[in-house]
Amino acid sequence: MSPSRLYTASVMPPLPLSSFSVSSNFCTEENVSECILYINQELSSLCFPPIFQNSDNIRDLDAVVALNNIYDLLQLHRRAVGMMEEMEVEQLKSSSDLHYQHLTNSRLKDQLELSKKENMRLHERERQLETNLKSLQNCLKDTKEEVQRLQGIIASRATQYNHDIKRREREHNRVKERLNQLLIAKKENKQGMEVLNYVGRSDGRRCLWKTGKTESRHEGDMYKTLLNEFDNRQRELMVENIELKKVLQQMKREMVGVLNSKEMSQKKEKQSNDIDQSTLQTNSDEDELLKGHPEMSCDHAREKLTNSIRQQWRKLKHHVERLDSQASMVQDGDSEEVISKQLHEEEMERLKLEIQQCKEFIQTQQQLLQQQLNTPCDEETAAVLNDSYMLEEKERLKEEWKVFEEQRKNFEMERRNFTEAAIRLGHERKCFEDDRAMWLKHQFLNTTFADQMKPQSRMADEFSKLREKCLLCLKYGYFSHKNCIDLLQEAFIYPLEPCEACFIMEARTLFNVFWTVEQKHPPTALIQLRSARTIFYITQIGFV
Amino acid sequence: MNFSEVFKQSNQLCKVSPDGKYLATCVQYRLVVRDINSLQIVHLYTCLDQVMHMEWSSDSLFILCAMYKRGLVQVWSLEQPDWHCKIDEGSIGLVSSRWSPDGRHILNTTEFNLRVTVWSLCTKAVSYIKYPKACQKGVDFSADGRYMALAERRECKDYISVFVCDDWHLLRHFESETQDLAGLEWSPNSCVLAVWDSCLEYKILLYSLDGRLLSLYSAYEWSLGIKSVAWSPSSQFLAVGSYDEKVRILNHITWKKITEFEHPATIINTKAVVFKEVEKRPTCLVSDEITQLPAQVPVIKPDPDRANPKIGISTLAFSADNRFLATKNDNMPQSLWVWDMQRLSLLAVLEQTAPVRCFVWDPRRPRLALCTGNTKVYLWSPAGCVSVNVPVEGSFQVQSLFWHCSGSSLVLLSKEHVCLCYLNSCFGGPNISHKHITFMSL
Repeated sequence: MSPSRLYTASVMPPLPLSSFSVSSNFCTEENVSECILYINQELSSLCFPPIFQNSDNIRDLDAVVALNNIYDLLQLHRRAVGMMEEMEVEQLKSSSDLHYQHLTNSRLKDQLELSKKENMRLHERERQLETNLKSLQNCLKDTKEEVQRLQGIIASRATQYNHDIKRREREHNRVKERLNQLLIAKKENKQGMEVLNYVGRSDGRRCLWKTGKTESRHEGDMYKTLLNEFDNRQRELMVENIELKKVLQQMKREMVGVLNSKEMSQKKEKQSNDIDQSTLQTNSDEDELLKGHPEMSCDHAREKLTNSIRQQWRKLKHHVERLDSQASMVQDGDSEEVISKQLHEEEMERLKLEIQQCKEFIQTQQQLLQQQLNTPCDEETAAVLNDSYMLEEKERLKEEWKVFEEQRKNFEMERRNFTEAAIRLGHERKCFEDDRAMWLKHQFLNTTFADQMKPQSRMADEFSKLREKCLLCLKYGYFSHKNCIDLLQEAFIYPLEPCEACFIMEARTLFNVFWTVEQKHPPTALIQLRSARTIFYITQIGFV
Repeated sequence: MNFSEVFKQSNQLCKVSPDGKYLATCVQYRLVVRDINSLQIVHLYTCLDQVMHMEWSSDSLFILCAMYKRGLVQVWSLEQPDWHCKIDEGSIGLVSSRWSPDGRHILNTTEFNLRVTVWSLCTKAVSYIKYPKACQKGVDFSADGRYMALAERRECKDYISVFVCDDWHLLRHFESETQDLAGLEWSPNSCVLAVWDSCLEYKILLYSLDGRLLSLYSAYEWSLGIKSVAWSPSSQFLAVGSYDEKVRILNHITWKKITEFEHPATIINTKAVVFKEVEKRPTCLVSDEITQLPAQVPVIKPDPDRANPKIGISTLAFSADNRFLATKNDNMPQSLWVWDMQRLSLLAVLEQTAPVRCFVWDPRRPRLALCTGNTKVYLWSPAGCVSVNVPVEGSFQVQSLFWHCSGSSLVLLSKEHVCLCYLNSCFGGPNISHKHITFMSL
């Protein structure tokens, strides 16, 4: 029960006496008997004797009983009031006690909180002190070890020093003894060298005198050696440097390539793509810069190269890390390049299965092959089989050989025929040539050169006549102008333009050419022509 | 593989002439010169005392025999056996003697390193060089024989003098920035001089031929430093082995470290091959097994109280073609590590049953010969590993070995004897001249 309720209950005033005087509403003239009954009932319930005796409905008030009842009721009332007062007092007391308890409770709780905090703080401090203690103990241990080590070092150094000192002292003593000996000793052994004859220098040259020139030469030689060494080393280092630079550049290019190919396909990195484009641009600029001067070692270019490589490597590393993290997580619907773990595993399973199948296949193949090789386990049948195969092959080969032999014989015969024919042809040709030459000579000698400027028609007639009779034409046909030129070329002359010409030839030797058209030839030439053995005409249409 | 018969020698003095035609051995006070092919004695010379050091001249015409106790050096001629030359250092004593690269001068270091005397066989000239330093390697001739670098110490400071071997003219004299110079070595191209400090300080300095300091490299402080140094034949790399069991490779362009090779007790590198010699029955030819990786390498902890502890890389050798580097770590004395210089990684580990005494590369091919003091000779090439027993009656304990300059035979030395081993060229591959390695091929 809350104290406030008790309060209200206790604050309720005791029965106000004033209310009784005004309470005339209980009993009136009309309800006297009911009142009497009611009062009797109440009194009997309170264990008082009834004050009204109901005999024949007459209102008989027993005054003594009533007065006693009233007196008892008053006593009761007084007692009740007293008890109530006591109880109220007690209630007040207890409520104040409670209040007091509450206050102390809260006070104690606060105290408890404070003390807990204090406790924690003290624990913390204790812990810190303990760690401090531990570290200090470690320090102490280390220092002790250090001290021991240093002591060991000091000890070893001391032994070394002692050893050294003893050695020196011994040597010193020996020197002193020696000195004494030398002072006392009578004969002095002189130092000297005896040699049968002096030997020449190993390089055969004469000994040089020590002059300033030789000294400077020595200096020069020394510096030359040093410089050569520096040059060699520098050359080697430069070669190495160039190689390394090339490798670095290649690495950078590849890294950029890899990064760009990866990032092109990812939508998220669009901005970085642009950035990469720009870096690519700058990289390509650098490449151009450095391409032109691969041996350039200026700090700026070097720094740029190393910085750009670092950048690219960092990007590549991030990318790889990202890929790793993506691969470790199983994500669906991610970028297409990332294969989910399940798919990967399925793929692996499939590949393994394939490998297994292939292996089995190979094994079966091997077995079959083995069987094949082994099936002629019966050696005789195997031998027979082999023999039969061999025989078949042999016979086939024999047949082919026969065919080849026949063909060869045929070829031989044909060749012989051809050679005979060629020889015959040669003979005939020679005869023909001779005949032609004679004929032409006769022809030419018969015609005259008096009228060189004869109209062409006459020549043409002559030629037409000749044509019929020309052995050459008969034999080889009528030559076109081009063929004539070719033949002339063959005869070591090349006519400049198509015109009529006459030339003298014997066998394959050309003696002279006479351009007959619009040319005047001296008489000596004409005589030469007349006495010539072989004469041919070239005309515009042919060669006669 | 054929083995010759066994000859006597003393003091491990057995050298092949530079032209490869003769073999000279010293037996007590006698010098025996044999023809290399027939092993017949060609010349026999007698010296005045037991020979401590013997050296051929560069043109193979003269042999130098040094007798330190008597302070004498005798020079013998091959062309004229009756020619003689005797150099007496007298009371000043003799500590070391060597030829100059032209084969006509002899450099004698007197006792207590008081001075270096240059005796000439051509003239009467004698030169003296004062204040030479007594250290691990105080004198070095350049590969072309033109220059000599000498370490000097004056007034508690180190100096380096560069002489021209032609006429012993002092070309350069400069102070070295070392605390206590331990050694110097010319690069094969004669342009750079590597100078390193004693083991108390890790410092390696690179000087140019004209005396300029090119670079200084120091890997760490305070702990014991450099133990061994080797140039690669093409002068591209400088390998520095130190007491911390690591080899650091410097490159010739920047003189900075390009890599370091560690020698851990457990090998986990899967590309390396471990050859383990296994003790089998003595009658069969022991072939090396290839063990599975990760493999354990036997380690011997050195005594911490002794000076010059047996820890760290004591020997480095590059192969003639520049492709391989063989290293020996002193606290793993039975193992030999072979590194591939093209990939800069471990190639093979050869584990023997006894500490490796000596290993040398073939001057022509990428082939390594090693011995461990037992009767076997071991050969390694990239193709594999082979071990051969020396078939000599009585045991021939191979203490050291070296190759003939043609790479076709090995000279094996035991305590008192010498034996030649003729190899067929089928094992090891064709001749390769040293190549400049470019990293482009990586």
